[in-house]
Amino acid sequence: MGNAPDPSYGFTRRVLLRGLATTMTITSFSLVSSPSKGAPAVKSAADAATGSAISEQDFLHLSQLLTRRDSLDSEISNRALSALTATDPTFPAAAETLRRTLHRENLTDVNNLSAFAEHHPELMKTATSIIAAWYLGYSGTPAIESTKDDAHFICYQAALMYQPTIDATVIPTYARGHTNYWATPPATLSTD
Amino acid sequence: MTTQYDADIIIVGSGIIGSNIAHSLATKGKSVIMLEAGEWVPRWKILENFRSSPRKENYNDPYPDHPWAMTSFDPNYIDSKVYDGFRYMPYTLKLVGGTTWHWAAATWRFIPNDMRLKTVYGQGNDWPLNYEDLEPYYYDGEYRLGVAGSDTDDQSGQGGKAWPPRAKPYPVPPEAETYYFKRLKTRIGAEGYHFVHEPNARTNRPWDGRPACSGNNNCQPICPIGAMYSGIFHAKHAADAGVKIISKATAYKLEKGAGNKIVAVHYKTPDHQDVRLTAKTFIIAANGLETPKLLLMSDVANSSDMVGRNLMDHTGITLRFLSDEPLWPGRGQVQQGGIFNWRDGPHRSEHAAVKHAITNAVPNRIVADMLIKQGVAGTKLDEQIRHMSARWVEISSVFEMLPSPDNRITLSTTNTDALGLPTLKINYQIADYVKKAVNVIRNKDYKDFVRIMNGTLISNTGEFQNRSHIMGTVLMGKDASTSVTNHEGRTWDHENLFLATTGLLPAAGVVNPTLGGLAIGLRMADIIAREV
Repeated sequence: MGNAPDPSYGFTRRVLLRGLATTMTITSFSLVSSPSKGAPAVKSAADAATGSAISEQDFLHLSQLLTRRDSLDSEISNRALSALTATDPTFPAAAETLRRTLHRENLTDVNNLSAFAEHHPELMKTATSIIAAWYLGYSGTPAIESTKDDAHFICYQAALMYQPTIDATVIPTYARGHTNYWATPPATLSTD
Repeated sequence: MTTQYDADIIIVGSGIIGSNIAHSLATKGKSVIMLEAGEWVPRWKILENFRSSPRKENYNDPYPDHPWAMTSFDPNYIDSKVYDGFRYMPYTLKLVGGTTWHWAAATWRFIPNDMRLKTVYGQGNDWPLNYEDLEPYYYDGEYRLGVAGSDTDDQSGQGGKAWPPRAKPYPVPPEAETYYFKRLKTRIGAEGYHFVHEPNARTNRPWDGRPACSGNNNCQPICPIGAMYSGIFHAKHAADAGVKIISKATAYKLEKGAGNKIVAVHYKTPDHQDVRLTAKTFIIAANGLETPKLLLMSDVANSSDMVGRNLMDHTGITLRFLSDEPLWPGRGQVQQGGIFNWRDGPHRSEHAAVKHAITNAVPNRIVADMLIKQGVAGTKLDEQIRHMSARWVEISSVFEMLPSPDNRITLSTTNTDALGLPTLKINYQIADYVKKAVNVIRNKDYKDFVRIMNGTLISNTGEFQNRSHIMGTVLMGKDASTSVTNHEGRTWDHENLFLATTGLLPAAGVVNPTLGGLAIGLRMADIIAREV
């Protein structure tokens, strides 16, 4: 079937890290590299040519900055890094470049990303791929009418795209009400 | 000397039509074997496959795809020629229960004028039977599926009396209108667009062991709770009634005998067994792709040279815009009905009939993907996801096609599957009859809808999209030289070989064809039960 998460990039590391890294909460964003605490970086053939690869902990911090979340699940973060790397082997190095540049330019609030983008258009593909991974729950571009593509699964219920509407609509396959609940609009209608 | 058979009737294909015929015949006392190329898969596995897949909009993705039983999406299975950037690709599955595992359960009747297209509008074909011939079998099908429908709507879309005629009311009343549908109907309907409720097998009352729909909004590709009907329910009923279902059995040859009768079917298994089974009567119910494929591989039923030709579908386009008010699509079932003004009328002499279906799927993924690609991030991204998801309107339109012998399925002469059987080639071009209607829709209806809702256009590109309503490939007719079967679905060439598929439909209309195919199949079951 080919739909289960690929054990070669997700499961093993997740098990290893289960006791080590639970959901990580930080109060302020810091993109200073912390290799002593971070898990081993994802290695790829592209590392040597394009610079060092981002560590799992740095990827988590970078993800928190780019999604404007104080807290993100570290297991999902590791899965996202693995999925993005599986889609694009140059990703870990590109993400490290993005992280260093954001740090150097002291971008601490993603609401200012568009100003940063004007000066660094070459980094936006990497930035949006990270945002997309967290919001959509996958990396790559899923095929609609084929079984072959570069997409990799990360998460479903935790995909951030569902948070803004979670009081009004469902995450598909889950139910929120009884039969015919849909005859009336959400209670928030007048302020939506 | 008497002959012993393996069964009275052998059915190839365990989808909605094959399984219901099998159940009907078994309850009439016949011995039935049903062959299925795929395997049994429990619902929970399909559901978990869906939840853990990155391909949420790929309807075949959560289902099995084996080298010995490929879905239509397997790159090794179908070679479909691209015309004008469009590649025809049906969404077929191979497992017990068939492709209705991932339909959206729209269960329309064809109206009488759909069946008299040649006589009334001078286009395409007439069906070789009348609406009245099918009416009782439509109801039989609706009852089996627990169809919810309106007894007052004019389904021809002209805003008139209830149509088409029914001897009995729908088994289940319509589900409540979503707020989204209600608002669109109120505003767009005010300008003369006729909204029609979609009869559907997504039951809203407990029915035949199925629960009422709870609005999980995932009819495609898998209803998580089984409120939506699929062929698996009657595959199980058929087995309970004594039908022997043999899965992982790919029929590849129909064997001819004395008097041009079919005497046996041969099938292969994934572990390379080769089995021959005999019966008095054979029914091929293997969908509009696989049915002509089996006939072509067997060199049967094709004296007309029409097997695999006249492929028709309801190739469609989509309009997307943002309404000026929050409507909140995504609450309830993935679709509920649409706008039907163009379903029937004199325009069918000039261009295709049209159905506008109003999509009610949770739009978050497409909205978020679009925003992120535009570089939106942070607070604005979350705000815009909510704002746009509340106002998202998607109209999915489909067009009536006419039969053309050049639009066809053929056997590959170069590629085979793991069983050594040929894969498929498809040639499918969209004719001017459809393109003229597309122009009308893009330039009038779509502009009206956006204007009336004071909307912000997202897309009106006219790009063709697949809808997977396969018709015409083994068309029925009144003349043995231009059709594959008679009005019973009995092949002209072999009196004990019947075909039960939407591939029989000789004129496509504009509604989802499954209930029509099922009604023909249930009528066929009655005919066969009297003969065998």
